This record gives sequence, structure tokens and C-alpha cells, in this order.
Amino acid sequence: MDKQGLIATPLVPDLETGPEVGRNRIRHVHATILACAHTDFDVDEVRAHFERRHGMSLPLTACSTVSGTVRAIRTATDQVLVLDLEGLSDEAPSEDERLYVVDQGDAWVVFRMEGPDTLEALRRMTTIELDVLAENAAARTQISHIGTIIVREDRDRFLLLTPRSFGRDILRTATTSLRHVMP
Amino acid sequence: MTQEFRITSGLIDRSRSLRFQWNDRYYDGHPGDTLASALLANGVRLVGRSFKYHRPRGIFSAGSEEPNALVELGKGAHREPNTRATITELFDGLYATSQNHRGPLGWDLMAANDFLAPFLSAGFYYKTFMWPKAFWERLYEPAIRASAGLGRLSGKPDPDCYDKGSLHCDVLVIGAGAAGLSAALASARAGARVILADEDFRAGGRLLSETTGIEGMSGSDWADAAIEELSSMERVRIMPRTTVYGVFDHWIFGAVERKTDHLGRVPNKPRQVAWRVYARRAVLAAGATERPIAFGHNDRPGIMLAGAVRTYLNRFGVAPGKCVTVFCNNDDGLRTAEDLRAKGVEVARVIDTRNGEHIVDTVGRKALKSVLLNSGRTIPTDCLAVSGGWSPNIHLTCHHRNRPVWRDDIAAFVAGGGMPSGLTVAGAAAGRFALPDCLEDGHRKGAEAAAELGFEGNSGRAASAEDIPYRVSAFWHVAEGKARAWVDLQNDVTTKDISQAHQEGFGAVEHLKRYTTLGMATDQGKTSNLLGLAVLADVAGTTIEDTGTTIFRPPYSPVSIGAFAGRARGQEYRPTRLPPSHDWAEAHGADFVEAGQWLRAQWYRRPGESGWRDSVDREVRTVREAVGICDVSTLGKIEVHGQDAALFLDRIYCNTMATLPVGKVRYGLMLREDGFVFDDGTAARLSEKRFVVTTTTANAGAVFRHMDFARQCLWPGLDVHLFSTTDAWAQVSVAGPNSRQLLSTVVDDLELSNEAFPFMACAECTVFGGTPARLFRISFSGELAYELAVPARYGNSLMAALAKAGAEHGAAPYGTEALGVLRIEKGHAAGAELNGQTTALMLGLGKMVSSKKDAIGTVLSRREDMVREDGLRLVGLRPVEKDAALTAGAHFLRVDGPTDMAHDEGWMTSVAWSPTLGHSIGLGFLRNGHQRHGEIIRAYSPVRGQDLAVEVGSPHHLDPEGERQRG
Repeated sequence: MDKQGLIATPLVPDLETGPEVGRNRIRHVHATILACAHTDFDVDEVRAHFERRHGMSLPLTACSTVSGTVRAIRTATDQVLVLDLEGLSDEAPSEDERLYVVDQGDAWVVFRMEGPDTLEALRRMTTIELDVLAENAAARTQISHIGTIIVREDRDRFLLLTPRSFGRDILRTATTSLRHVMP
Repeated sequence: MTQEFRITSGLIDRSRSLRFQWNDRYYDGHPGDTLASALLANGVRLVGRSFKYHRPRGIFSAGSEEPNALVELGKGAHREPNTRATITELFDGLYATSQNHRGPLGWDLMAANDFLAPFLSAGFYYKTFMWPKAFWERLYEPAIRASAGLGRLSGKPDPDCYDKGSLHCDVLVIGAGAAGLSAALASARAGARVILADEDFRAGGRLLSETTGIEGMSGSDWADAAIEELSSMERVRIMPRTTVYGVFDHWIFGAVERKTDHLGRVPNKPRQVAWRVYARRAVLAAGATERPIAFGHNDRPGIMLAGAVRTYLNRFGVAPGKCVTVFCNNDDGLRTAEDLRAKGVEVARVIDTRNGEHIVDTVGRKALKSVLLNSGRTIPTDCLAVSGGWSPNIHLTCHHRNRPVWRDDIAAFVAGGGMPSGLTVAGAAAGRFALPDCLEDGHRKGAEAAAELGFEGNSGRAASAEDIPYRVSAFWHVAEGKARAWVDLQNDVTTKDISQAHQEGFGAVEHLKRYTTLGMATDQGKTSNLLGLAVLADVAGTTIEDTGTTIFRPPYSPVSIGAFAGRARGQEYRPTRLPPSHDWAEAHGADFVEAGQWLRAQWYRRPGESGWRDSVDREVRTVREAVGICDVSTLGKIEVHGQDAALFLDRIYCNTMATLPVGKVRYGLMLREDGFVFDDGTAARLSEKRFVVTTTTANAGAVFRHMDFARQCLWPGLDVHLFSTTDAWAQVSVAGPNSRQLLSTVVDDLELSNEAFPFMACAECTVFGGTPARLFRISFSGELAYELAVPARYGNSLMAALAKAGAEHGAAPYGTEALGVLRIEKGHAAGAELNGQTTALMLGLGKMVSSKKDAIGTVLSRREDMVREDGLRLVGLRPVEKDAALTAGAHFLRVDGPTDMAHDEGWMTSVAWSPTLGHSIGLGFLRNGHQRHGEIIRAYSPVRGQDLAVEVGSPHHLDPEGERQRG
């Protein structure tokens, strides 16, 4: 048996370069995603650990902080999702004595939707109040019944985090929404 | 055809012409026209037939209240019936036809019904067609069904595209008339986020139809200026062609926006969008609807509301007739006459009930020719403008069940107390009919709504306008004369019908509505409700206030079912989850099945196989004789981390988990609080404080919720953290006697001998030269088996690599159908057995409920009836006659016992053809089954007409000692 390791398959074959919908784009973002948990997340020790390890402050619950290409989303009182949008490593994180870390890079698929029609397209996809979703803020929602995290990167640029198995459905929904709203 | 009734005024774009078809004839109109205004401009008066009597009907109004001019739009599958011509925006290529007639519109054969009117009065169907009895199904019902209804559905799937969406705002303003624009300006200037929604395609409401000035401008110019100011504000969203149709809980308003209906067919664009609008405050400025007066033959084409006459005249530049008569009980009639004269249209006479005059009858079959006054005088006329006063549009205020209250001064109902929270009413909708009042009221309500939300910007001042008084003297119907007088034009309800209903005991308003159908159908009685109440009050000898009113429910006006569905149809009806190896499975001949939300391979078809059974039998034999590979990634996977992870799992599962050594897997049974089985799966201990547990596919979400509830609410003090990793790992079952040989060539640096890696062992490892993996030696098939997990991105590649590596070991993929056969052969419980009504004892797993510790469900699982010795038990079943096929759902009966439910002894849960054993096998629950192995019983299925003798045995049809899986 020729042992050459397994080949990572992209979620959607042509997503690395597309699709373009009018003046808008949807991209699959390769991200290293870690889920970190600690029973008492707000202790100084954890904050310091977070600062040291990720170079950013710990976000408040349901909020997001960003430092360079690394973004943290506080998904629960005691849990935070850390995304490295430049990260291409498969390496599983080591277990810390007090901080429990799980590699979620394969659990989620991350899409970046951007363009002038993105905000209006998202109104067709989610019930959340997008007007008050500030830059770098994150919100949990459902898109086509699929649990999704939305992060606003810029006025017209958003990240959508969705369970990997739903990836193609979310992509179709996003593409359809853009087609419906673009001029 | 020339537009002979077009006059030189209006808000239409005369520089462009639009060509459209009406009943297959071509006509011209202009941008800014509705279908109704364009038809009137072209002299088309007859546009439809009435519901019951098939009487000729013309255009009656100029808005969504239209009861007569219901038409079919579009052709083929695009055809949409019962569309109101009065709100259909004209576009080039529009195709419309009249409806509800047999033969040409002008010569409707069903008009014979009009001569049978004495037999078709209110509630006739409760009293007639009773004899002879046999005629009902053979003649009467088919004939009535063939005649019923108005328009025709295409009968084909709707090819149009729809969508849904959500909007949020501080203040929702419903209606863009004088009050609505004023409210929107005040709120927006104060700084609030405003949505202004109006059902019309042009903002202005009645301002577009009247000649009254505002701030020195015409009403329409002022409306345009207001829209321009609002459009310049970033926090304002203006939504024309949008009907707010309902008020729901939690400050949610339903609205439907007609996006492309006015553009004809636009590929890939939704024609309508159903919006869910979250509004912290709302101002209802929906205006008012004019109502008619009932008099003899008041339904002829050419008779229309006075306000509509002004709309066609002033907004659309159309003269509704060449010689118009006005009949009114209020000042609007006089205003109509003034406007007509100003546009050069002859006014035959103004008949004001306040002067003691009224119309008793009219003449003209397909178009009005003359009216007869109570004085006996006949007035030749081709158009009659009728105004019986105005009723505020308070429909939305009733959607939370509050009742309107009566106001004598305007002879109309207005919103009562207890309206939907955050909703206020402004302008004509609040009974303020004078323009300055509307502007001031709208401004005040808009400013107040913004201020309540903390917006402190300067709202400015309300616009000022000329004050034109509105005085009304209640006059509802003309009692004299024998001619029928219509109250509800859409349902053909006359004043006589109401009198008759009252006479027959249906005097309460709710009864009246249902007995006569008054106020039903597409217009929901917008022009007829109050008139009907007034007639009822009259015949009952009481007041309208005492008679009361029915209230309104959503929707305010009809909404397409397609808009409610949005894009949730076909592929987008519900989401589909794809396992990591989906593409590989598709490329290798898999037939798929929906399992929960997942699309799973149920078998892999090969050339030469005649049907699914061939494929499944082959796959089962492959697993039993060589090695099969199956994607089982859909099983729920939850990582449990923390110092107290073992203790937590001990409390979640009824069997002990705390003693599970690192590197081992244990089967786990989860009970609900009530002691019944919730789910089953495995728990693998990867380190002292790190477990990964699996759940059934269907229960993955429910089990995670259950565990997280326990973690957060029951035992918040435990150091436990849960991570859902179902999507993170691709997991493949490698099952069969050759599985070890196959995996030995795949796994890096891990000894797989029975001693080094025994049954129920687990390890973290790498495969195929470095890919991180987890290996579990567990078996669902009863064979020597493993489950190999790799990060999901490698799932597709893993199946391909295993198939390639396994070729020399006889490996082949298998699907869910073979998986089911294998587990029934082995006697493993699945969904049919874990149905929420079974206990551990019933499943033969009673000893798993540990008595040495407490866990969720343990105590209640020991209730008397749940542990009775003679209770139901899981058994295996095989037909006595080997060739017979068992059926799931069959009931168990004793061979010599009666066939009734009192002697029912259990049921068959799962069946399969076993290629291994060569006959049909089943699992089922049988009373006292564990002590009846070897007994012959009946499997009786009255649904399938089957009564089979079956032999009871162990649920483990194959390898009851488990030697294969431990081998």
C-alpha cells in the first residue's frame, strides 16, 4: 500500500475562485477554528492566556474581537470560537491544563460574502437585525433552518459560519439571495 | 383602439404608450395607469360577472376594496385568478381576461341564474336540493361545484419565483397618504429608522385623487416632495407596492411586496417577497374606504364610488362617463361634481339624500343608461357616482382581537382600545377626514412614536393644508321599491338576503356573515360590511352600535400562497446534509435516501443487478464474508471534556461510565427523566478527562441539547464542556472478517491484533502516512469491525483510499439498507425499537440500569409497570414457512387465541430478508417474550391481509455469543 496520506477535498470544487454574483462574491475561507472552553472563563488567568496565545482580548458573550487575521467569537459564557482566517494547518491543538480546546476546523465551513448587494441579500436569509450588527460583531441565527454564525467584517462584507454538512445548502441560499436582490 | 375617455389631466406618463390585451383584444394605456383605468379610458365598462347571479359588473372602485373587477392575469401556468384590476399596474404586454362566465363575457350562459334568483336567496343550499335524495351526489353537487368559484387556477405548478425576508425598524408607517407621509417625515427627522409601506405603486394615497393643495403645492407634488426628502435619509426604507397584511405577536408585521408583478416576467427574480417586519412602533395610516348606498339595481356597470370617480378623473385622466350623476349623503358628492365639471365632464344631477332625494332604481343591462328618482323622475346617465360616507381602515387594529367602537359623528367604526402593542392610528384611519387633521395627526403620531423610543431630533412641523369640511348624514339604503338592492357586490348579497337571514333567526352579526356570506372573499367586505350591519340594524329595529360588528383577521387583502412559501420549495424546501463522502458515493453508483436531514447512500448499484435487493444482498454478503465499508459520519458525535467528564457521563447514561479505562469504548444507554429509553450510542475515553460519545443520527441534536441542559442547569458546578463534532469527523465503518487485514495496511504504527487492540478498544492514531485519525473497535453488524474517523475534509478521500486498499481483501461499500439488514440479523435495536415508548428491560438491557449510582431516568425506570416480569420483551422472529415474508407492524396473537385487540400480545418492529440465513427475519416486542423462545405465534397484519405463523427466538439471529465481533 502506497501511504501518501489522504487528500483534503474542497467542499465545493469551484468555490476557491467563485462564485461571482453581479458585483458580489462568495468565497470559501480556509480557517483554522478552535473551540476553547473553561468553566470560569473570565478569570484573569484565562484572559492572560488568551492574550498570550491569540493576541487579543477575550470577547464578551455573543460578541467578537479581532486581531489581524485571528478572530474570536464568544459563543457561550464558557466557550469561545477562535478563527484564524489565514490558518491552513491541520494540526490539532494540545490540551491545556485548564483550557479545553477542540479543533473545529472541519466542523464548520466559512464563507465570506461581500459586495454592494450583500446586506440586502442577507435580509432574505436571516431574521437578525443587521442594521445594528456593528463591524466585528457576531450573531447566531438560522439561515434556511440551518444554525449559522454571522460575523460582520465591514459594511458590505460578512462571514458565514455553518456546519460543514450544510455548506452546499448555505452556498446555494446565499447565491440565490444575491441573484434575487442584485440590480 | 383609441382612448376615447382619456382627458387632459392626471399623473400618467402620456409620452409613452403601453399595449395590453383584455379578452384577447389589444388596447393602449400609459405608464401610471392601472388595468382598470386603462380599460375605462378605452371605454370598457363590462369587466366581469357576479358570483351567484352572473349579472354584468363594471369597475366599482379604484383600490384594493374592489368587489367587481376581478380578472385573471397571465397565461398558462402563470395564470393568476381573482386579481383586482383596480390595483394591477399596467405594463407593456399585460394579458388579462375576464372570469366567471360561460361563453363570451357579454353573453354569459350562466346569466340564467339571475332569473332563478328567487330560488337562490341567502342560505338556499341549506333548504333546497333535498329531493330526490339520490340527486344530490349525481346532479346537484356536481352542478353546484361546476358553477362555484370565480377565477380558475391553472392546475399547474406555479412557475414564478417568490422570496421571504426580514426587516427591522423603529417605526413602521403603514400607508403613504397624507397622514402616513406626515408620520414618516416626523419619525425620520427625529432620527428613527423608518419603514414606509404602501400598497400603491405611487405614494400619496388620496392626495393623488383630490385637488386639495398642501403648502401651496398640489397634493401629489407635496407627496413627491415628501418622498424625495425621505429617500434622502439613509435610515428610511420606502416600500411601494407593499401591503402590510397582518399584525402578529412580538411586534411582527406581515407584509408582501410586489417586486416584479408590474414588469411582466423577469427571470430569476421573485415576483413577490413576503416580509416579516419587526417594528418597535407602528403608525397605521391606511386611510378610509368609501362605502356605497343600497338602492334598486345598484350593481350595474357604470355605477361606482364617488371617490373612485375622482381618482380616475384626477389621477388617471379618465372620464368614467360622458354624463355623470352623483348620489351621496355627504359633502364628497358635491366635491365629485365640482371636479367633474372642472374637467369638462357633464354632470347630469347631484342627488343628495340630505335634500330628501334618492334613487330607487336604475336601467341598463350591460351599462348604466338611466336612474329613477323617488320623485318619479328618470335621469339619463352613463355613470353614477355614489358616496355613502367613509369607513376608516382599521383592519390591522383588530388582529389581536380588539373590537372597534362606533362613532355617530362620522357614522363609522374606529379602532377601540387594546390595540396591538406599539400600534397607533393616524389620519383618516383614525376617523379624521379633513386634510389638515390628517397631516397634523400623522405628524404628531410619528413624532410621538420616535420620542417614545428616545429619538430626540427635530421632527419639524406638520404641513398645512386647506380645510375642506366633511359632513355626513347617515343614509344606508333605499327601502322603497321592489328591485333588488345589493349590499355585497362580490357575494351577491342583497338587502332582502339580510332581512331574510334576520327573519330566519340569523340576526347576530357573526351568524349573518356565515349565513349570507356577507363580507367574505377577496375584498373581505371592505365596501359592504358596514352597509350590511346598517341594514341588519334597520330590520332588527336597533342601532348599528348595538348590532355590533364582526372583526378582522389577517390578511388585510389576499396574499399569494407562493409568497408565504417563498423559495422554500423543491430543493430549498428544507436543508440537506451531505456526508463527507457524498461525492465519492455519487460517483460509485449510490442510490440515496433521506435519513433525518442527511442524504445517505442506501445501496450501491452494480451493473447486472436487477434491483435493489440484488445490491443489498450482495453488500450484506460482502460484510459477512469479506469486508464492507460504510460512511457512518451521520452518527452524532459529542466531545465531553473536563475534570468531571466521567462523573457527568455517569449521570447521563444509566450504565456506569466512570470506570471506563482510557483507550476503551463502552455501549451506553441514555434514559429520559421518565425512565424510558432516550437514545443509545458509545462513549470512548480518549484521555482521563476527554471522551467522545456517539448518538443515533436522528437524535444527535436532541441529545446534545439534553446534555447541555444537564450541564448548565442540573449540575452547573461540574467542570464539563461539550463540543459538537458531528461535522468535524468523517467516520467509516470497516466491517467483516477481512477488516483487520484491510486496516493493517492503512493504519500507521498501531498494532491491531486481538490482544493489542481488542473488541471495544479505541485509539488516536494516523492513517495513510500521517493523516490524523481515531480508531474504534466497535461493531453494529456483529462482525469483526472497526470505525475509523478522520477530519471531515478527508472523508471523500478516505472512502476512495479504503476501497482501493481493500480491493485485494474483497472490500466493497455498503449502504444504509444493508446496515439495517446486518443489525436485524444481529439483533441490535434501532429507531423502530427506540421509539420513545420502550424501556431498557424491554430491550433486554435491564441489567444495564446500574443500581450502584444515580442517573437521569434511573428512579422512574423502576416503576412497577416498567419492570413487570411478564411485560413486553424484544424477541427475534422467523416465519414457520421459510418462503414467507414478514411485515413490520404486524400484531402478535396466540395461535389458538381470538383475533382482537384485547388479545394483542405485541408487534413486529423491524423486518428484513436475511441473505445470510436465507429467509425473512424480524424483531419485535412480545409479551413475556424472553420466556417464549421456540413458541409459534401468529403475526397478524389486517392492513396487508397477512396472517403468518412465526417462531419466537432470540433477537440475535446470528452469532448470539458474539464470537465474530470479538474474533
